[in-house]
Amino acid sequence: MAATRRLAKELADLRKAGLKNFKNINVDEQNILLWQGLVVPDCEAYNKGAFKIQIDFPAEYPFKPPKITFKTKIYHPNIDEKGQVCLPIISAENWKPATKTDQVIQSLVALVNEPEPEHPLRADLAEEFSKDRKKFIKNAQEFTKKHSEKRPTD
Amino acid sequence: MFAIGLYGNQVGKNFSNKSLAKMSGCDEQIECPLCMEPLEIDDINFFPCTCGYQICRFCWHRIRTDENGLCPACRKAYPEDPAKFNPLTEDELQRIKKERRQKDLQRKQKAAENRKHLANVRVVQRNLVFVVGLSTRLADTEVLKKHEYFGKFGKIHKVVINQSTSYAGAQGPSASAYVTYNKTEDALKAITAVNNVHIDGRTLKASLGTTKYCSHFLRGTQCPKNDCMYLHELGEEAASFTKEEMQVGKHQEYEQKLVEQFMNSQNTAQSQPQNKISSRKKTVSPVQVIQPSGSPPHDESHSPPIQLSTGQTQLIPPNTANREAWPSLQSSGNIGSTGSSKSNQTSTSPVDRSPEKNKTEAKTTSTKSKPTEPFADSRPALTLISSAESIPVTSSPPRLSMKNPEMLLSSLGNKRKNLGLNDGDNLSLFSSINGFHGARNPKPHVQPVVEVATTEIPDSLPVNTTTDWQAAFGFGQTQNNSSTNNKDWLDDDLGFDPLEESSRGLADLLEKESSSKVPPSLTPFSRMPTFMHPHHRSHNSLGHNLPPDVLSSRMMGLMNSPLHTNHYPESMFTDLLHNKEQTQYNTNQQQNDVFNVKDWQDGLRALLPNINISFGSPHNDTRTNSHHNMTQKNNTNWSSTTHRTDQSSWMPYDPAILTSGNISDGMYHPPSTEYS
Repeated sequence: MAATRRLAKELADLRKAGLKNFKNINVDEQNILLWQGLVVPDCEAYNKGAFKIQIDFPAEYPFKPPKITFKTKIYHPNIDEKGQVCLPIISAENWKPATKTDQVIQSLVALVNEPEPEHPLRADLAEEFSKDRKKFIKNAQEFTKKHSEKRPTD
Repeated sequence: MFAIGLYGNQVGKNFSNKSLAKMSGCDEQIECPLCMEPLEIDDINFFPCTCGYQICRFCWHRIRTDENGLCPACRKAYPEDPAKFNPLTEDELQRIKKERRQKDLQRKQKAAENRKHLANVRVVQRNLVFVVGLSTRLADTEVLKKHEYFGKFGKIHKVVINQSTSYAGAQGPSASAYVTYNKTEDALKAITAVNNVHIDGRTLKASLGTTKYCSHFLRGTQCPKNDCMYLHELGEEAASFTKEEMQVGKHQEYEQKLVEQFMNSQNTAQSQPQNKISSRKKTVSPVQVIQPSGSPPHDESHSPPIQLSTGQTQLIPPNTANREAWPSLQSSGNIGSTGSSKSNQTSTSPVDRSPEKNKTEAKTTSTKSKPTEPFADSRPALTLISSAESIPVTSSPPRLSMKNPEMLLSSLGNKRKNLGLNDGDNLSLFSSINGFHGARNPKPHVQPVVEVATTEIPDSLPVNTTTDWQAAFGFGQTQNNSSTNNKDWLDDDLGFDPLEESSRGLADLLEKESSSKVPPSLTPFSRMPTFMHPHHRSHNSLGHNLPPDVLSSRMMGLMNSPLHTNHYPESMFTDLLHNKEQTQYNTNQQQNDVFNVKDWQDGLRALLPNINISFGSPHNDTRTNSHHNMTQKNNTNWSSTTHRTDQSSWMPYDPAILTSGNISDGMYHPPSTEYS
């Protein structure tokens, strides 16, 4: 299966690269199509916590894009309460089989650090983010404190 | 990196650049970026999209038929025909193929060079038992797998028989076998239980087998065999031995260590009193034991008596589990008849035979001779050990005796320790595996041989002093047994070939006595101490606890109790008696021992008409010329020499040494283990 071979390679490359914003990559040995990891943002609103995500690869990968969901609640305009993310690079219409998972993750981290209020999943947060940045950051920090995972030490 | 909303072209270009770079590098195989499979030769010049993004034709076909038909990098629709495709010319194809072949070859050569030195290396397999001395009846894969044989020690993965009898030694035609267990403990179990067992008139030798590296592995190629038993990956460093190391016996040391560990674990599990374990074979030779006795008798004394008792213990096994364990054991009576069997053996063989042939017969003989016969006593000794702890009164004396051997052992040199340790191991093993008797059975056969050497000495002594040699003999033996009960267990598992060892040892002793006129008193003493010391010790220890009078009286009381129910008293009593007698013997008899052998024979024959008894001139018969020379040369240095001689004798038969280079990859594994 093309997916297995490619994912194994991508996983090895990812672990080797050791991204500073994406850690604790955890893959079920029985099912390499299901990844979990910890997003560790840098920005002021979220830099006190870490956020667990799950990456679901379809069996047709790389011809079909993976899906990303947040397992940790996050106060973010582009991530809804169910953890769904709107990430253009992995949308069905934009997906390119040439795109690699590390690129997907990089774009995800970028999205977390810099929300895009123009394509919000949560309009209220987008509005707050646009109109009262300070309040947004404060709320996000509190929310992070309350719900986020512990940041990995190293 | 990539802005979120940004699609495409950048990414696509990056990729195409990468792949191009790869191509120009051309060192490693180019992979399709989608499926990560290496590109076929004719894919290398295949570029389906104008953006230059290269994928394999498989993925290209899939995208065009099943997916959206867009370039995976630039998302332009793929044109009907590939944008750029220059099929390889025949020449290019040939060239590429040639290059690849060369590269392959180089890689293999490199691997082969790295592994060249491994051709001489044998790796001890912890789950592989190598057995020599199988009769043709047993030299069958299915037979050996049976529960009565190797099957009882654990699940067997594979049995490989080598019918070649080239290295059967003096035992006549016999095959060898490699038994692969699934678990390493089972292999060790099997070795400790099977080694030196007599079956079908042959002595089985068991040890951990070694395996060589598969020739395919050495060449760096894939082994085509499904169930190839040779090694295909690097073995453990500690378990790897070159031929030179093996000739020195390094691998045996390694095996000993393993066995010790195994025994230790077993002992701890069973909480047996004896903690000592050691490899069975090499160090423990009766000769060694006897020899030291010349100067410091204490320690040595134990070993011989033990052996004696062990020989007697054999009687028990037939009744119990022995038969089940090794049905063929029953036929062990043949031992005496086997090729170059030593005269010494004969003495032991009767013991084995009688029980085996007829339980009843054995019983009758034993019962008849109860007072005088050693065999009868031996049973009590065994029971003593097993039940010693349960019965406090009776147990105290036996325990003491037991302690003595241990102490002695501790004081002994390493070799000695090994002996003692071995015995202990055997005990634990056997008890764990078969229960007491069953487990021990296999070994006892061996022990009788040892017994001969020891017995001879005492026998001769009593004869001189007391005309009634039978009585003397019986007493002496019984005493030995009782005092050395514990030891007996230990010695059961001696790893060496008892026949050879004992005979040789005897021969050496005799030679020494006759040729080098040692002060006459010395030799008898040296022998005597073996018997004497344990007794004395036990006596002393007893004395500490109880005044001798009390002891003796107590002993008498014990004696009165029915023998069947309680065997201890008898043995104890005999011990005490023996001590007194022994002292007398010491003073009175000094040189006569050896020459009385004939008398002994006659007496024994009269006593046990069914048994073929002969003590005659064991030395010459038993040994090969080489042995003889060796031993003579090294008479002064017995312990070491005996060991060596064994090796030398064995080595010619060891195919690993002889033919290791030539062995094919077939089923036959060269027996690389040596027995000492």
